[in-house]
Amino acid sequence: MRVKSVIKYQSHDYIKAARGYYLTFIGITVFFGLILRGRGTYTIGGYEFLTCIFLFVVGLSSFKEFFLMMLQNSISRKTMFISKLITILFMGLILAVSDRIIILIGKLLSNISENIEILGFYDRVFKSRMSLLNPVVSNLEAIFITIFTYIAVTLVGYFVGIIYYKMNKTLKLFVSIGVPATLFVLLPLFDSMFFGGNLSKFILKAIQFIFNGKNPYNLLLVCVGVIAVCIVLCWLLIRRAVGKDK
Amino acid sequence: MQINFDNERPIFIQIAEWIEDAILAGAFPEETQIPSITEFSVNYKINPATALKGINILVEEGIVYKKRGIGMFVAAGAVKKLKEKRKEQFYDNFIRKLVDEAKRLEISKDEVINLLERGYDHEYRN
Amino acid sequence: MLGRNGAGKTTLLNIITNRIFPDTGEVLIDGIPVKENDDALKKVYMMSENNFYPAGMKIKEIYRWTKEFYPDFDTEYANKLADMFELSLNKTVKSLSTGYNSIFKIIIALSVNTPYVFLDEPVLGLDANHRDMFYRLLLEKYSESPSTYVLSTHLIEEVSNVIEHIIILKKGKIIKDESREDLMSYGYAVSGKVSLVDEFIIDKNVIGIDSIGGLKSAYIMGQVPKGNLPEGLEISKMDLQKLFIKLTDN
Repeated sequence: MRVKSVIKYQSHDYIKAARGYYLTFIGITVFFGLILRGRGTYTIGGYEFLTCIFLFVVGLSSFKEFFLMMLQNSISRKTMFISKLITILFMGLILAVSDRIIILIGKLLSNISENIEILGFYDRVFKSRMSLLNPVVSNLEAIFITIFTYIAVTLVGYFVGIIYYKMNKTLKLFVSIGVPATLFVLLPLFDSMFFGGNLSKFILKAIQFIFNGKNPYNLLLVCVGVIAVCIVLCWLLIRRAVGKDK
Repeated sequence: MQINFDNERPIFIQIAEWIEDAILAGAFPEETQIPSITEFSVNYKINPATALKGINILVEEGIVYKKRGIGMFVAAGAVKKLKEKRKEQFYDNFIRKLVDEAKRLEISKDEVINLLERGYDHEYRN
Repeated sequence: MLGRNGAGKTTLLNIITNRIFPDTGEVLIDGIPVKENDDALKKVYMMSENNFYPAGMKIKEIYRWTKEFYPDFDTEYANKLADMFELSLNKTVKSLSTGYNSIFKIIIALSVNTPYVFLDEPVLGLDANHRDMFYRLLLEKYSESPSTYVLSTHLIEEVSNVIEHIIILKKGKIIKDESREDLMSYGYAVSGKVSLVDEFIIDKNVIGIDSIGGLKSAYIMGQVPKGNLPEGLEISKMDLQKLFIKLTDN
């Protein structure tokens, strides 16, 4: 019974955030659609990418406040976490379906008007796959894969959020600067110095594997892997997380 | 209704004494209801268990009794009982202390008696 | 529950309510281990000095969610108390003063109706009127409900008549755990000339000594001795505050 209450509380927050996100998106689209009328094209390519960023941020920011509020209301960490996973699953499902609808509407609009072009990320990357299947099946498949992508992205954000909660201020600052620095400066540097560019070749290959235009199930596989790893790591962190003073 | 609790004696005894005083003064006539445990507790900011303990002393002595589901009432004959009890305690509570202090101050027995008379006169004058 | 700053009051309460974990040992509530156990946890509510509620949330929303997590929460009563304390339900947590930050949580604690309610420094920042109101409401609630209320405080004088049972913590250890009556009945002070007092206390459990000039007061744990005292010595009761100070002095 408590799981139900926790899901209710959690989804209340998520729904509020998602509503804001969609309203902003629609608002911006309508705004640019209007001012660009006859003068240019408003293009959003890879729309799901936006949602991914949104979900990452939602995941990132939804740990601390929620965790403390649940502790205050005598909810065990186990119940919190199970409810969290269920909420994230539902969120992924709902957003994947809504986004697919938006993309289909976008396609429709692009056919009517020259000004607006809303293209799905999935549709672009897996173009060859989609052209093979009939539209209903291909769109259902897109939804299915997108759900897993969204869950994976949210969980990664959530995981980072927990790590941040557990770190003190200096460590936080260190990681915030250190991780991007490693990714974008040190790694390429090491790559050229020690690996003779093999590292970047490997990364490129990995990306090609994941976003193989003919086979979206590689992406699915990676997402499932990420989800599994995140669930294990998050639980290990939450299990021992304590209510901090401030 | 104000009780100034002192630190010398347990609060429940002071509560019992306060109710006794009130009964003697006629504030709670016989066969009328006295305040409830909760009222005592909330009014004097004391634990309800303390208030209950105080009232229970009076129940045991037959000064007040409980009417089930209504509350506590002053027993018939309570005033008489209380006066007798207080008279018994009068020697311990007042005379002994008076004599002790008089000895300490080296006031003679005759002087004490004189003072007592003065006290009575003083009271009558008022 | 009494203890000096840093004695471990909040730490203990945090362990009891599953907010932090003990290094060793376990906490049982009605015989059930409380650690990560929803069935045991739903029997407790803790009002903490630190705020665990979302800063941007309105008080009325907090009350609504509290009802969700604690079905026995009495919303009507909470609204009545908010009215008495003049707490505006439309304010957010972060916009409240220290006093009202305590008040909105006090109101939850009094309305939540769990079998065990823990209040950590409940009157922090409250003015005298509100403190008075709080103690009265607490006693009223306590008289009428079967719940156990645990107050953690260092304002001893204020609570000394309100409480029924006393637990004293000193440096993370429980040094006293008994009824208020019992604790109060066997602490006393004996004062007089130094030589007389010294002689009197030889076989007694002395917990503290004050001396001014040739006079000395010794604070003793134990029953007040019956029978006559040596001439020149005087015995007085210790109030809870004094007793506490003497027990927890270094």
